[in-house]
Amino acid sequence: MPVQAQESVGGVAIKGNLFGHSTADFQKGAGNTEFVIPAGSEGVVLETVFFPNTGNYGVRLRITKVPGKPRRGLAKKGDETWVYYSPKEPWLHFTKPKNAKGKKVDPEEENRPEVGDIVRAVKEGTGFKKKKNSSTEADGCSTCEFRSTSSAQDGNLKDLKKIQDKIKTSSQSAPAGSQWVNYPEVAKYSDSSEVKKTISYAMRNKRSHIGDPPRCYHYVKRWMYRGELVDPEGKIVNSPNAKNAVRDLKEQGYINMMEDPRYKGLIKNPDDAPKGAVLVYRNTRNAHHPGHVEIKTDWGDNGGYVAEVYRKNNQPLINRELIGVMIEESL
Amino acid sequence: MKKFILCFFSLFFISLSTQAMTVVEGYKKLQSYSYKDLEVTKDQSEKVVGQKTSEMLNTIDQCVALVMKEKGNVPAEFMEEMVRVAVLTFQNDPLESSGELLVPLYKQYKPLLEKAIDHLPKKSAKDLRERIEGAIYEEIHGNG
Repeated sequence: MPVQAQESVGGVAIKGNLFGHSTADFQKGAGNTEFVIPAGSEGVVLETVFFPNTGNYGVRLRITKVPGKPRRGLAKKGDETWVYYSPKEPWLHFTKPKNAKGKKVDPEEENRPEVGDIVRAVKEGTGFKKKKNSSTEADGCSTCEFRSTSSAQDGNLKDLKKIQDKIKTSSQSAPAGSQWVNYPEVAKYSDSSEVKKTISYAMRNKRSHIGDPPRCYHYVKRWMYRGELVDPEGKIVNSPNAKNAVRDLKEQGYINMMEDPRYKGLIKNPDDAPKGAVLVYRNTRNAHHPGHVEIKTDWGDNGGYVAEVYRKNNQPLINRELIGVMIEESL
Repeated sequence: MKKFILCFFSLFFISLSTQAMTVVEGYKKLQSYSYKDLEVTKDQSEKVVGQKTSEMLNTIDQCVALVMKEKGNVPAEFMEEMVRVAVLTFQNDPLESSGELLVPLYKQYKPLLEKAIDHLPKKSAKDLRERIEGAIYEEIHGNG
């Protein structure tokens, strides 16, 4: 059951293509998709809804700017719509509200935190900062779910704590119990903004079906350029075979964990690879086959594998032998 | 010496197990696979479905080897079952590897395979043909 948050006024910049929905129902089959809001659009937040089960939000926007020419199926300026906001994959960037010239702004309204502030506070675990004019935490936080009554406050604090824990487990380095806990250089790579950017970009732009012809290495290179994991000027640009990724990435400063004595015996199958590692396979049947390459999206068997398409787990993968688990330690 | 004997016996048993598969056994195995095997349910997790898909792909691989061994002298029903299972695996294999597994047959016994593919629904037949041709293209031109 979603919890209705209060009206908020704040700007929002849209970083990726999003679906606009007529209602705050984001379930499959809701049939309320209205249009696509293209990346680069801007809007104003009108309303937010928090979904305690998932820790995500529904955000109602008024579109104020749409880049490019108006097209059928795209949002128009002035449209009001609901978008889904996941703190894990933040495709919305919340900005401070811009006040119209000469317009007096209600000081209480000016002090309201935005969804971005809420998420940031939860992520950092710092809690909400008290505003100057507010005497209590609840006073300074009218958009979030803090209420002046202590029970409601406690309940919401628990919710926020849950989100905080979820965010910590999903975004923090190697999870407890993982074999990578004792390897800070691996965790540093996996936690780097470049890896996060690469995975986020790949997940947004992956294909739903494999192309004709399949081009896994082409797409992995594209994701890596976009996430700034490799230098676009490098030799990797011209390499046609996925199995050559080991050599190509070594030239870019990567190491193959399967050859490195420090990690010997730690990686027996793709599930053992750390988050963000580039996995390289060769074909066991056909020596002329170009092989396969993909990026691990999370730790352990939580993670899927993204290249041209996304695989939820390491099965099935037939006639493929893992020959490289590539990371860059100097990130 | 011990290692050599151990290696010899393991290789002997491996070869015995691969030889054991006949066309009839292969056909029966292919027939046993259905759409329900690849449905994620409460009892059947994604991992189980993934393993089942792997098993199906392995069976297709063995059946392809069998057809090659028999020099194409296999019943049409066998080929039809093989392409049916190949299309079935698309559902849970985003890489659609079954197309790649059929490439040797496409190269050597194209009319036989085409005849079997014609028995599939139009869309499935089109998807499978595209995937096989894509795999051949990938082999020649790479995927980078």
